[in-house]
Amino acid sequence: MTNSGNQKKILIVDDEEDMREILSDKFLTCGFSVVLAKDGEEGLRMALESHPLVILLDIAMPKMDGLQMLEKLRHDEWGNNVPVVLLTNISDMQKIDEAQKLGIQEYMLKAEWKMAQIVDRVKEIINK
Amino acid sequence: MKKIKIISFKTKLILTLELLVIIILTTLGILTYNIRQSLIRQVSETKLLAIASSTAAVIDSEKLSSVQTEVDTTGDSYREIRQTLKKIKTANPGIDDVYLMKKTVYKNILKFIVSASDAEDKNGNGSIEENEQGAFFEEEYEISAFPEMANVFNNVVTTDKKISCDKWGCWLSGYAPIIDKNGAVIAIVGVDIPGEEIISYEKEMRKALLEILGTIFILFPLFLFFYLQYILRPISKITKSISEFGGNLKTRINLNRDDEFGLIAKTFNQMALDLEILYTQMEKRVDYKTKELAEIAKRALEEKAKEEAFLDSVGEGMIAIDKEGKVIMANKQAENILGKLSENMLGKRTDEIYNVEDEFGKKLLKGERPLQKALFEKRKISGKYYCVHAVSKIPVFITASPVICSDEILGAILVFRDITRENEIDKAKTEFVSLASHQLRTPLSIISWHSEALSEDREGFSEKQKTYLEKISHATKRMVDLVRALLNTTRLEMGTFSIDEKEVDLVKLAEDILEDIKPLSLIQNISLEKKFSDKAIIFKGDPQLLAMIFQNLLANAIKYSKRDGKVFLEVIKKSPNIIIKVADQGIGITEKQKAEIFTRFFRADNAKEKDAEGTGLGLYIIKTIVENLSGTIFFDSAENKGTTFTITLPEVGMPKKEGTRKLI
Repeated sequence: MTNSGNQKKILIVDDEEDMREILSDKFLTCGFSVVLAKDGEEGLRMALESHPLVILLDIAMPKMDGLQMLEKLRHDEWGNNVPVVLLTNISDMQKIDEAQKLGIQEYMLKAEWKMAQIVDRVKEIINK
Repeated sequence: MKKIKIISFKTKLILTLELLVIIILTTLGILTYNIRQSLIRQVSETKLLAIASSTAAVIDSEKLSSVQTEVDTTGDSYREIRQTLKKIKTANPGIDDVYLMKKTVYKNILKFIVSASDAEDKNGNGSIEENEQGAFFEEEYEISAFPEMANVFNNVVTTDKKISCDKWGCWLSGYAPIIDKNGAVIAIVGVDIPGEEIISYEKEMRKALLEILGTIFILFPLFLFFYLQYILRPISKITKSISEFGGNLKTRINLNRDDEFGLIAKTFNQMALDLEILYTQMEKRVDYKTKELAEIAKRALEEKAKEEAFLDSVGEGMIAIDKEGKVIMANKQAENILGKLSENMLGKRTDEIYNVEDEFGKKLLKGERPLQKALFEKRKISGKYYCVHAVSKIPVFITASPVICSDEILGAILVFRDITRENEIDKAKTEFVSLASHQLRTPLSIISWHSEALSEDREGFSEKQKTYLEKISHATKRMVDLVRALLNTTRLEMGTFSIDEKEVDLVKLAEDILEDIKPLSLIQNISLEKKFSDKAIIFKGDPQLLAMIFQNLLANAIKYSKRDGKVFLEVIKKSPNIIIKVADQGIGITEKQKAEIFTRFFRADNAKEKDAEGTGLGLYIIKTIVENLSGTIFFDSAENKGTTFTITLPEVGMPKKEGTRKLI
């Protein structure tokens, strides 16, 4: 799944396969290398293994949800500083707040944004 | 009424008057007695002096001088003198004796010369006793009992001042001197009036006086008694009647007299009659009023019963407090929720009955409690709270309203209901909406992103295919908008949305939104005009909610404008408010649908004609947000001429509100 090379690497963690694929295609088209994970557990492992520049993280997922993964990630020395974009369709303020406390760069409601806008945002984050 | 002791008063009066009269009479009697006695004495003394003087005058002093010895008593001189004395005695009845006496060598002893009296058997026992004999010649006589006797030798005519006694009896005596031609007193004349006579006379007088006094003593009380009876009887009658009058208004004084008592009785009877009539009238009126009052009381009781039944049948708990904060009423439902009988709540302050926590479980201080707030701030307070008492913590929805009558605060009323079940339903609803919106958004996102991907790669598509693709994108966007609006509506209705508190420059925000919305306006060639304050308007509030207001109103204005029209946005500060105005020259709102435009899902007929895709939720959401921010929204519109929406927000900013969901 890993796209090799020295390109900008991002990790997409989402349980919805269709989402993962279309988004991955978009980022690949835009010159990113993409790592995909289907749940929090896998996402955490992939993140720690491949050290992406940005992580796009969904919340509602089986095994380990996005918040649990984020919490664990923030316990890691490297993971503590990696920018995370919360990309989800959940608009429950409690959960968003929780994520914000753990540290996220951006909260984006999937349905409200075009993929191009998401890519732009990720680029901005990397360029910082 | 205490009975007056009229007898006691009468007795006292009788006794006092009697004592007074007796003292006066006794004094008068004694005075009379003394005067009479001294008068009698005076008469006797005058008589004695007159007889003594005349006797002394008729006695020849030379002849008397010739009688010197026993032998001389047989002589003519002596006989003549004695004869004279006897004549004088006979001539003056009441005189017991007339006699002559001469001096001896002893001062208090005189000697008889001659006496008019002969020996006489006065007691009639047949023999002449010593005291029944006349005085002898030269018989010595002790005069200490008759002190005046010696004085006569000093040539004075005098009488004794009191009755004195000797062996012959008791006497009052008068004396006169017999003077010879040389002026010397050679003897004295003594005249006696028997003392018994004077004494018995005096005794009789005293007896008569005592008899008169005795008669007065006996008769006077009787007279007094009857007289007083005459006077006091009407008083007694009047008093009795008056004291009876209190118990019986028909009492009259039966007194037929022409005097003042009669007048009193007559006046009293008239007054009693007036009073009786008045009393009867009054009794009737009291009866009438009593019945009326009973009727009112009955009606009041019925009203109260109805009220209580009404209050008890209300599903919500109700507590009324007075302006001191003390409970004056609590209905059945309040008893049920608080687990306390109303009689245990009456008169207490509510903080003695239960504690209040806000919806996040923070205990409220006394002044923060809704009821106290309503009372002190004179405004209605409502919201979700927790009511905490001994056994439980119950979520309640509270409405506390002040009771104000002509600007005066009388108390406050608390209406509250147990929302445990509502909270459960809310929670379930929230979870459902949250889940549903997530579930709806996921396929929408997939459609949206795949359409996006397709439209980026549309080179090989036919025109028709391109159109189809656009329609898919557009429909997806509508669907996303609808889900968002539905979700926001649900949150607004549940009160679960949150309001952030940040410093927002409204002018900059308005500029940004205008910029965002510009592409939309270009479609119909609509010009956007603005009037902002020169300076920034810093407002404490939630940027997202504020943006939503601008976006919705501007989008509507553009959407419902005619081609080439104008949309005007104004943001100004006009203390104490901030005013936001959005005006268009569009289709306007028909008169008959003006009342409904803020209704949820409502879409005006002309709006549907112009744009079939609206959700009918935009204005409803704006109005709900504005009102939650303590602002107001109103509009002015004319069909086919345009509409102006005006929003006012208090410049102090929005109240921060914690909530579980954000509006997006």
